Amino acid sequence: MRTQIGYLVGGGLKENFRVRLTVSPQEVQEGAFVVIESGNWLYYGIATDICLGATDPRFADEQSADRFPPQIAQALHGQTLYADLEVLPILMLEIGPEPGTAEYRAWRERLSEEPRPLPIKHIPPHHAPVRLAAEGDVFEIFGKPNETNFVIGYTREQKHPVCLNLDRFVQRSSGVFGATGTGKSFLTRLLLAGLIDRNQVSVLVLDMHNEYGYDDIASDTKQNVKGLKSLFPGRVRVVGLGSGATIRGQPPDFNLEIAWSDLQPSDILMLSRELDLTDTAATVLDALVKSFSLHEWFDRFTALRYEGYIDEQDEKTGKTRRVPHPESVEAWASENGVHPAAAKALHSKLQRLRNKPYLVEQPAADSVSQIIKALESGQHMILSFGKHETDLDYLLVSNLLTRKIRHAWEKKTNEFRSSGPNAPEPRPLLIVVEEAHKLLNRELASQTAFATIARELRKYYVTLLIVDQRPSQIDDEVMSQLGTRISSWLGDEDDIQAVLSGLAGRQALRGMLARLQPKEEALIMGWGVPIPLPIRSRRYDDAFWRELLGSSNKRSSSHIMKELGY
Amino acid sequence: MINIGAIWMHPQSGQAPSTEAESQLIYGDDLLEEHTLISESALSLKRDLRERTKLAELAERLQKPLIALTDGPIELWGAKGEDARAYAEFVREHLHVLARLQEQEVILAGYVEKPFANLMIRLLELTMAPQPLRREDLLASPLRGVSDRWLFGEPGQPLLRAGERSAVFGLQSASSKNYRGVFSLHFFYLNVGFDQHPWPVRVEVPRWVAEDSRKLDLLHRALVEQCRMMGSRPYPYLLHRAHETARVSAEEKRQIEAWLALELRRHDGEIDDLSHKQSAKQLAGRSRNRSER
Amino acid sequence: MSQPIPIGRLLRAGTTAFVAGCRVNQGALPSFGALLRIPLEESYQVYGLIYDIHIDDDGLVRQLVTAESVAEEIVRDNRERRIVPVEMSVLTVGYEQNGRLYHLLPPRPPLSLDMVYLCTPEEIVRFTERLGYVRLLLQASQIPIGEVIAAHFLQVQAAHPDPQWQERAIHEIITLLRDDYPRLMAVLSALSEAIR
Repeated sequence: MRTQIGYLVGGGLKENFRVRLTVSPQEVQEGAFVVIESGNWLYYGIATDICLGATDPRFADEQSADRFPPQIAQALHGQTLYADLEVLPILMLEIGPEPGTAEYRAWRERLSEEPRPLPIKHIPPHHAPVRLAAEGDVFEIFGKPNETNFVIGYTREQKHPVCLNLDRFVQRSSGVFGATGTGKSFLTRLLLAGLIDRNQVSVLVLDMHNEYGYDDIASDTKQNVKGLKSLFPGRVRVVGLGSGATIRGQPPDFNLEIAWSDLQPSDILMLSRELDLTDTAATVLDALVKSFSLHEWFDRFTALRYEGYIDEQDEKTGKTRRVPHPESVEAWASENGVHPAAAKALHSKLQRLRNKPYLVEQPAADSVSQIIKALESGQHMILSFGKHETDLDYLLVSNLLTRKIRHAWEKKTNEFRSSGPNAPEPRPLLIVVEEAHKLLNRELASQTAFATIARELRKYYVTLLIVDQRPSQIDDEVMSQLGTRISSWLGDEDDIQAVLSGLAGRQALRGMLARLQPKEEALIMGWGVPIPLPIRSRRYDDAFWRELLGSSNKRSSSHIMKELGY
Repeated sequence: MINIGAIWMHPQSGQAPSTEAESQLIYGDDLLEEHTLISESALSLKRDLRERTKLAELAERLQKPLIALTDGPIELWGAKGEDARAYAEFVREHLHVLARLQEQEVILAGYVEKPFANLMIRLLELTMAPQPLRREDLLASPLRGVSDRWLFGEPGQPLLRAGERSAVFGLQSASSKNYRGVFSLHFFYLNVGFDQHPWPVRVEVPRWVAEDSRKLDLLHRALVEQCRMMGSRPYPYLLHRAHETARVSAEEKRQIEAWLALELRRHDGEIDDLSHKQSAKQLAGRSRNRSER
Repeated sequence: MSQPIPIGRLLRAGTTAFVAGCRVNQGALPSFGALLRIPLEESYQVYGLIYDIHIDDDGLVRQLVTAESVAEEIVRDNRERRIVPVEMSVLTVGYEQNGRLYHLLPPRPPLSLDMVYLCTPEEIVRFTERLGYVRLLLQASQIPIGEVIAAHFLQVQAAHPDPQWQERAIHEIITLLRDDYPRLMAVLSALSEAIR
């Protein structure tokens, strides 16, 4: 049963509802999920502000408790001083007359479909009772926990389970945000565990700090934290970067090596800052592709000598001249109309890449294709960067891999769309991008595959899950394309604004975000979340793992076989 | 209606005085005497007699010594001429009452404030007039216009100092001959006021009191005490209270009339209306001023 | 049947208030804040609350205070024996018709000479069960409202101690005077004394 906390006294759709509290203001929190009942309708909203008031300011100014005996002081307090709740109304649901009555039957007959929660269009009258949502209300709005509805957390007041509809969640790109140390990676692990368990999409995690694959130790509790591979040994593969790489002392399932022939000028240009390229680089790269071809330019160019001279005799005069070695950069530059200094500059910077252990002339296996195939068949990949933790490594590999994957998915989608009605849909893919601001900032926004994916809105069955602590650094357009956002505490005003960009009721949510507890609390909002709600996040711990695996074990053997790729 | 009030107290007892009021409604045939309506003066006599009788009744209940005060001379006044027989009857009854008082040794006194009979001056005139006494000589006396009160109470240097009494004199008048023997009337003057503001009054006493110096002293002292209680306007406190107890206020009179009217109407009687003059006088004058305080 | 105040009569009356006079010795004075009733007809009576008691200036007392001293007997005579004219200003707080109580101004005011009765504890409890009359009380101007209410409170509590009634009455007062802060504070201050 719902606990009554007050009644409606004013406000509206534009400026939010005002509720007169009939309980102590200490019993209601900001962000409380409330239900307003009126006639045949229920209205759902969240409390966005709590403030004190008085029927006359003098009652508030003077302490009647001192002047009057307790009986009078209490009566005065109760009648002249009050607390109001500001409620952001969001949804309404038609529940009809009292069940069991004739009116109820008549109403049901008139319905063309089962009533669903709708965006609020009309408002309840004055004095409508306002109550805290009961568990049933939370289930009505957020869904009852089942295979599709994943419990992401609990309401703060009464600890009702709050679900995220995973199928909806993956229909758009999404984001997990929060300042450092607020539990972003836990939230992400939670989500990924749910998604992998649900197994409707394949997940590719770009694990910059090697956190997700194998077990870890929590920095504060020093407890063991299960990795995704421990939880789902049959479905999850850990990929290491470069042959011989180990992840946390363990060998990965296989290693990723990238052929030089895969490198494209756009990949290089994306690394302008890391490689400290000048403006001339673009022109040089253009010329390189023209002269060497798209697949050979890197190999051929970086193989050239930086400097070198030979003596050449002029056939006519017989005099010897010093000329650049034919295999030198200078020689090539003059041959192709490129400024030699520019070419030399690029050449020396590209050596860094050539020396990378994971960039090879001939990879041992086509690991990129392996990854793609595995994802297509329903496996989940965690690309751990091992010891290659620089921004350069992260940017290059992430972008290149994603570019190829997206290309593969684009191809599959086009095939699917042109083939008959019985063709299988491409397996949806979710790419988890850590430190997203490195890849999705304004500068790079136009250049990376990620930005493209974000803008494409799942056109080709690929979406992103951005994990980041500096959302203000992420390109605005990308942020506004995000559907679901889950955010822990953020301290920076700009970051808060960024997370809320494109959402209704921003002002109210702003305060809530800033006032979250530093750990274990988050605000869920955006597309796919019916009502923005602050929650106590579910713990990624023993209890969770047992529950998850327990439910997993209940599945049929045929199901399991299917998961293993058979 | 005849209303009398009586009040008595024990000095230095610390106890509140006691009061009694008596009302007598005379109506119907009792209002007729010899087929004529009883006169105002006859009613007054009735009342006075009733008062004295009340004193006697009370005296018989109360402890002695007892001082009994009436307002005015002891002798009953009025209505002498109208009905000699009725008057004689009054006197007889009065003497009967006096006898009861004397029997109880009550110190009876009549308090005459502002007496108009200037007995002392008359006496002085007699002593000053040449012998033999002639009416013309007396009328031409240089003391004409002088009052006993002035004689005894000249402001600043009164003959009687504050609280002093004069010698006791015998009263000689036409009517006083009815009171003989132990009932014969005497008087003395008493300054109940102050040296700067003397206030001489005449106190009448019957013989049994006049000849008893102890009774006189008690009376003297009691009168001065009683008058002092009234502060700047000396008058015996108890006499004032007795008046109050007896007095029928105008509102009460109206209320009694209204009750009578109600009863008469209930028994189908008829009542004459107020004279229009009277009803005009009774129109609300100061009606709302009190509540606006 | 309650004690009639001796010779209690109406001097002047309106619908909102009336003045009753009585002649009692000072020991038997009705108290400030007391609830009175005046039966007008067989099934109609008006209720009022005393908000002022006025004892007339008295010539005799003025005299007595000029004396050097006042004997004990005189003091007691004045207090216990002398009938003094007392005027009581009474605020109308309701009426009863055919057995039903109405906390409204009466359709007809009391008439001159109507007898005035002090209400018994049972009558007080019955009249004050509902609190509509408080509105009439608070509407009156130029009366010491705080003191009247406090005295009335004490009277009601003496008739029937009931903390719930007190609570309801305080509640009603606050509701009616919520917009008149100075007045409300004055009334509550007076009430504080009564319920302390």
